[in-house]
Amino acid sequence: MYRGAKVSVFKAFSRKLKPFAFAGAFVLFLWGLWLAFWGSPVDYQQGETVRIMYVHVPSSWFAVGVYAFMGIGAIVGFIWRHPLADMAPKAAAPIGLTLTFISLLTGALWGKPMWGTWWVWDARLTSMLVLFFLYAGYLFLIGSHEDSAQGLKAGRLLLVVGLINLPIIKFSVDWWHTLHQPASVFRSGGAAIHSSLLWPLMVMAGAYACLILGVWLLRMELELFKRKARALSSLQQESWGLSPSSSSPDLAPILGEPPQKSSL
Amino acid sequence: MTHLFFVYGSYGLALGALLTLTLSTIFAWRKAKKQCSLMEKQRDRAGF
Repeated sequence: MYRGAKVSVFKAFSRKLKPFAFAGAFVLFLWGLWLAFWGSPVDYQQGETVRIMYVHVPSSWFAVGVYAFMGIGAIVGFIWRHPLADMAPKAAAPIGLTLTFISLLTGALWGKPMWGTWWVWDARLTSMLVLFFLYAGYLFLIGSHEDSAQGLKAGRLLLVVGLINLPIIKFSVDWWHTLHQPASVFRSGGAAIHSSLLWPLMVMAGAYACLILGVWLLRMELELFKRKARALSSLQQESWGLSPSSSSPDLAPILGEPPQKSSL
Repeated sequence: MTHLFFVYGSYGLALGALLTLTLSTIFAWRKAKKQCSLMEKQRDRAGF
């Protein structure tokens, strides 16, 4: 009952929040892109290339943030075994993978004109590549098991182990001598970049946050639909006497109210 | 001029990837929702 109630609360919450998230993303992207191209100055050293920052930096922040969220979901899944705790990382993984992909490629496109190379094996870049493989590995693990519960369990374990990579990404630029610059926004002593560059960056980060929230809510609902369809399919097979029930105890919150028995 | 290639390339890539992710999610969501409501109708008709 408690588990079912939580899923229904989530569904109602998601239905209300989704339009605001997508509308917010649309408005903030338009504003952020205008600021990025016309409302912010060029850098005195980097010139026009500094504009890559407005897509590279939010992608990198949220690539790490989404993984932290997934890791927390995995820990909650281990402890409380709530159905939403497994669904949340599964729904977030393709988003994190896309963000890491954007971060790595826009980083290469920024690195070539500034450093003279697309890629170096320095600690920051390598730990971001490891993050990409963690996302890909998680998606592979949950998709490759015939028994989805086993796949999710293996995925949870990988997520928790992979959390060790997050402080390495964050502090790699302080711990080792890297070609990548140190933190210039989230650091002790305040942001090191001028407000004329910081504003567009924050607006773009807001746009990313809204889009990520909207897509994640959609993917959560998608996962709930898939589980419901699987549950209905197994009930259908059971009613035809094709196979014994394969329904799990978690189906009740997903299926909702039982149907009225037909008079036929 | 060469630098602008890198700038536009980055934006094209980032926005393209985000748009692909969003649209593929929306299409998958619509498909799953349709399939689910179809199965619910079947369930109500058959009463299983």
